[in-house]
Amino acid sequence: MITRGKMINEKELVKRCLKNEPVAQDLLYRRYASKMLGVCLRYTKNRMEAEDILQEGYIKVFKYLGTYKFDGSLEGWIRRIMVNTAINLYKASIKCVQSLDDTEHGEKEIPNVIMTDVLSMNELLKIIQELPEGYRVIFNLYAIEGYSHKEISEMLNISESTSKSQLSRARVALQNKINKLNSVLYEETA
Amino acid sequence: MKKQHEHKIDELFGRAFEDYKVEPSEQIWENIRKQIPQATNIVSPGKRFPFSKFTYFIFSAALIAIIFSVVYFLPLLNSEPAKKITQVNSYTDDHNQINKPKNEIQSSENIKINNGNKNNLSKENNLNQNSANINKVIDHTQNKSRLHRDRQQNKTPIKPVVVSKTLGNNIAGKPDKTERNIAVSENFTPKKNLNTENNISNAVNNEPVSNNSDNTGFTVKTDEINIPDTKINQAVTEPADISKIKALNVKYIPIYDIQTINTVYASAGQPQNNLPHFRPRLYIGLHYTPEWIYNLPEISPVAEPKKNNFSQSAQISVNYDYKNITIQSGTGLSFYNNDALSSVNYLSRDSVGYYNDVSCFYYDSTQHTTVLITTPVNVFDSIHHSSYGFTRNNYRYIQIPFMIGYRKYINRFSISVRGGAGLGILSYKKEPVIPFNISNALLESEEKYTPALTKTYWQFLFSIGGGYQFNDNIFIAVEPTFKYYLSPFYEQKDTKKYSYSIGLKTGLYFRF
Repeated sequence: MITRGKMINEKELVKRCLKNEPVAQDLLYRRYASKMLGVCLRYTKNRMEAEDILQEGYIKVFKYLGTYKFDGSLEGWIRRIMVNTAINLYKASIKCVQSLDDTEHGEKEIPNVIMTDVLSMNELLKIIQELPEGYRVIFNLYAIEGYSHKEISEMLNISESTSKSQLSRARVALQNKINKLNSVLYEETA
Repeated sequence: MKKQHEHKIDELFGRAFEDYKVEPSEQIWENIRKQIPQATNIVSPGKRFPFSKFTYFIFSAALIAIIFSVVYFLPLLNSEPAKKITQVNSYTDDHNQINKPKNEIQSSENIKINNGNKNNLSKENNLNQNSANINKVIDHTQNKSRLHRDRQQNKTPIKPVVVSKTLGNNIAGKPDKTERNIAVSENFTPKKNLNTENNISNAVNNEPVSNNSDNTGFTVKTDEINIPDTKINQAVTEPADISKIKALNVKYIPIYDIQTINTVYASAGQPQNNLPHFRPRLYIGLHYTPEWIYNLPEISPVAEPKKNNFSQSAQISVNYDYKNITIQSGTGLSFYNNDALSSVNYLSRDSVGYYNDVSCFYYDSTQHTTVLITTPVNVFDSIHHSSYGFTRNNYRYIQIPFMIGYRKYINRFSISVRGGAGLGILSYKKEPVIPFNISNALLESEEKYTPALTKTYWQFLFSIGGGYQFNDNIFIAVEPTFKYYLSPFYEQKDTKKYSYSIGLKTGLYFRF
């Protein structure tokens, strides 16, 4: 007589996590951890940095879980925390190194290339991780997370035009790297 | 947030990383877990209060209702003169001290009978009958010790005198002889008919008694109680000897609903045993009720868990008695636990076999065979598992009963029969999942085989109880109770089982 056989829904999961039930906390972590690490990897240079963000992000998740109002999906909420954590890390790093608000504005037009399915996920990840930090963050926010330039400018304290130019450069850089990889693959197969 | 990709590069990466997953190392979770307890405590909004907001709301409402009841009814109770008159209850051989409570006795003058308006008589009589009922009561315990000491010292005890009077007219305007009441006084020998309340008062105050009859409806009848003084003394000095009192034609009734316990109430004629209880009475009760619930559904297909039928509750009640009718309501918390069966389904990486890995080989020219050097290698795969177990669930219901019934007083004891309805509202539940501490395993889901408890229920309530009054303000009661659930206690889709419970309600009552 299975009367309540079900996947634990988000609401119940959050409720139990707030009661400090270890199993629920474990479940919350395991349910989204792999996806969130995938997010974090896009914002960092390597896996170690990504795991640091994942760890810091999840601590924030459990710390502020009581403030989650169920007005969006839990996954989306956790994802935003991870992205914000990554952005904070990035902000801290550029304070020491350089200002993102460079003087060169305007987008460089790049040709829309037809991509092949030859590149693996690891290769795509590697391409992104090799991008300069500023390019990487803005490209991730705009192209993958779906933020607008206005939102990105507010998040990173930069102008919209800077965001646009950085995105444009990121695209060019990515295109170049993809072309390079494709040519290598072409040579290998030839 | 999702939008159409405006560039091929964006589209490529967007699609590629849409569901990109990478399994993190186990160490990450271990690090996070160490920091969770203090983190969660910071933001958990429900941790500051042990009960839910709804529970606090219900209790606040109940408290307001109780306060309102007290404020509303208390003036009615205090307006009864009987309470003042019962202050005149201490025995003494000092005549001056006998007169001491004169003020209180004079309060019996509140019983004014308006000759001009006889329609009001019966109402006023009802209201004031208690005041006329006990004009003088003598403390039994004090009497006993004091009189015994007087005997030792060859002193003559004060002679108590019993006066009976009727209380006003009935509706027809004739003296209502069925409502006889008592006044007891020292040094007063009733030889004559006394007609006025003042006479009674004077008698109690050891003053000369007139023989007037003014048709007020008050008639002190002394002919029935023309008892020799010695016998009266005997009756009072040995009040416990009921047979002697009966022989004296003097009724001996311990008064237990007035302020002083263990008092002697001497009366002639037919006293009304339940007269002291005819006034409305409001009191608060504190209750504890252990109960056992039966006819529960089968809550486990694997094994019948134990201790699933016990519940206990704590209540505060507001009680209102008028004559023999008793009304009870209030609020309380009911605590129920059960052992619930549930399972967790998880994936773990387990060995499903092995193969021999050829590390090298050589050709054996003597045997003309190829020799393989192999190493067994385990093959792992993700295997689904289910683990069953019992967890202890806790539930808390707010209970709001309403009962009406009949209460009969027999001296200090009372019996009551009550029936009514009760509402239960689930205010808190804790249904922990099975502890899952398997490393390198992924918890997929949990399944609960025990049905959930209903969020609200109605009950039919019935109880038969007995009470014992310690003094005028405090009494205890024990009531075996029967409750029948008018809706299933457990939520079940297929069948409906209506449970019932048997309990023992204990109560401590405080009267205002």
